Amino acid sequence: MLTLQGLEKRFGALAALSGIDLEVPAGEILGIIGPNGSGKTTLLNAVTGVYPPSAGRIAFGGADITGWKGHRIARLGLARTFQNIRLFPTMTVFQNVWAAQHARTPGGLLGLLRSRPRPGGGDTRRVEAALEQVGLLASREVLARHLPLPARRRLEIARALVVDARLVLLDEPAGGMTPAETADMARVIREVVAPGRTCVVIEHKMALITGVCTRLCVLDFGRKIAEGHPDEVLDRAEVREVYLGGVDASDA
Amino acid sequence: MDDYVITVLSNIGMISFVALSAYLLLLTGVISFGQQAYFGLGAYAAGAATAMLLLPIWAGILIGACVAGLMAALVGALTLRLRGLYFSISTLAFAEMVRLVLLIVEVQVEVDGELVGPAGAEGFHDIRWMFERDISLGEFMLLIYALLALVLVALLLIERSRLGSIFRMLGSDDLLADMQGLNVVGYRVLAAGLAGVLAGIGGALYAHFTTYVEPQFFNVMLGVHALAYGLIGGLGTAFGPLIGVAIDVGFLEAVRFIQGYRMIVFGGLVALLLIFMPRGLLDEERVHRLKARFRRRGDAHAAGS
Repeated sequence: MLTLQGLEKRFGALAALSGIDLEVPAGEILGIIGPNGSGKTTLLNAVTGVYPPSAGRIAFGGADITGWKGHRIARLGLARTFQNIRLFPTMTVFQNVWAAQHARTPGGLLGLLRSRPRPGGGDTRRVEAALEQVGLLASREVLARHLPLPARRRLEIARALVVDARLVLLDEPAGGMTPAETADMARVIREVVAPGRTCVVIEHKMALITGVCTRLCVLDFGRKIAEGHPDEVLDRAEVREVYLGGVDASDA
Repeated sequence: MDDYVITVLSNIGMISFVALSAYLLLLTGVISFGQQAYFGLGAYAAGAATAMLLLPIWAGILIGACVAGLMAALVGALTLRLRGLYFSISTLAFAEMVRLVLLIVEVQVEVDGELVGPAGAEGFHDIRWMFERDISLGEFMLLIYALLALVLVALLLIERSRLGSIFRMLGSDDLLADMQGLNVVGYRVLAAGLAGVLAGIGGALYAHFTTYVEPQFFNVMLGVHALAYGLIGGLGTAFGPLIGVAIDVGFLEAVRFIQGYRMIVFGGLVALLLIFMPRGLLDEERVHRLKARFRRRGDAHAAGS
């Protein structure tokens, strides 16, 4: 589904990513962990076309997307969330999800001039289904900026659901959440996002990583230092040294 | 109505086109200091159409709108790849280029034994369509407001449309819009073209209302004011910039005693609003609340009847 070959990203003299080779087969939930500044978000930004990589190749679903603009990559069936949550704050919950669906299929010049649907109207079934799946249907008329943090993260996920993305990239989906909210997010990822999709999850919270990921990749200083089954990877001495500072994984 | 009132009202109407032009670009999240260039191009093109080619006024306005719109789309295609301030500066640079070129362009033709056409710094005089047909200022004002109403309805329809949503998505967060599959530059070029058309219509009307145009009128102050109108009146609806124009040209003009201090009052007003209401009087959130209230009232009414 997603293949990275020798991926490299430099910002001036700083090598944020170097020599990353990664293969994400269809249906997998890959977790990416690593200390702050290890290149996790840079990797995600390079894959989604926020900026082009400095070297290496990126292939998605059989197409070489190296250097493509973000909107072209998105249209191939890729959706993402953001570490610092990005929503359209002055749009309602409903409008945010509808906008995501509409951005993929503007429908030509005549389609653009049609009026925007109101909740409950014509082609809003998919939007409402997505909101239902993340438990936000009752808040559909609320402005996005008025939502509490866990609901905002779920709204970002509803956006990925409505466009039927094949690959969903989640950047710290449980960031800033309590243990109970984190458990709820893990359930949403397992039961709603994962079925029928391939996922890449960046996360610090071990509860979420061990709860949802089928495979784990560890980054440090922009390099991949380990990859494999979560239990086995987290047990390796070098991973515990770099990432957990020698603390037992179960304490984190 | 005396001629003074008609002139003030007509000015409000004509300036409104530039204000709406700057507003449309603000919606998509880019700040242009150069919409006066398209007002000027519209004025010159429309003046040339009626005074030099002796075409009817509707053709003049159409030509003015098209010339301004095409030019704006072309310039937009070249400059909208620039980000933020760099784009804004490029719009200013282009507008100054247009003004300086108009200062030296002399193209005159003989019409009824007289030379007519742009004469460089002298301006473009004798755009006499109104005199030749004995049309009063009042009647022309009606034409201005008829076209303004048409443009306003079109803009309100765009805002309700899917295209309007896309414009607001770009304005709210262009990275997010890009990540969701929207060609940000492409849609902004479209908005720039439409904004050029709006400014061009305003310019075309202006040329015929005053019967002459000169490059000095299309200086940067017009562009800065056009931007300020949207920021004062609000970016939540197309009525916002119109309120901004009415406050500046209407209210400040009418209150004679502050006449000499007009720019000071205007500048202070802009500063205060930017601090307390950064997206203007009628911003998105207030518009959302007003709409929700109207809808509830409408629903209650429907239930009661």
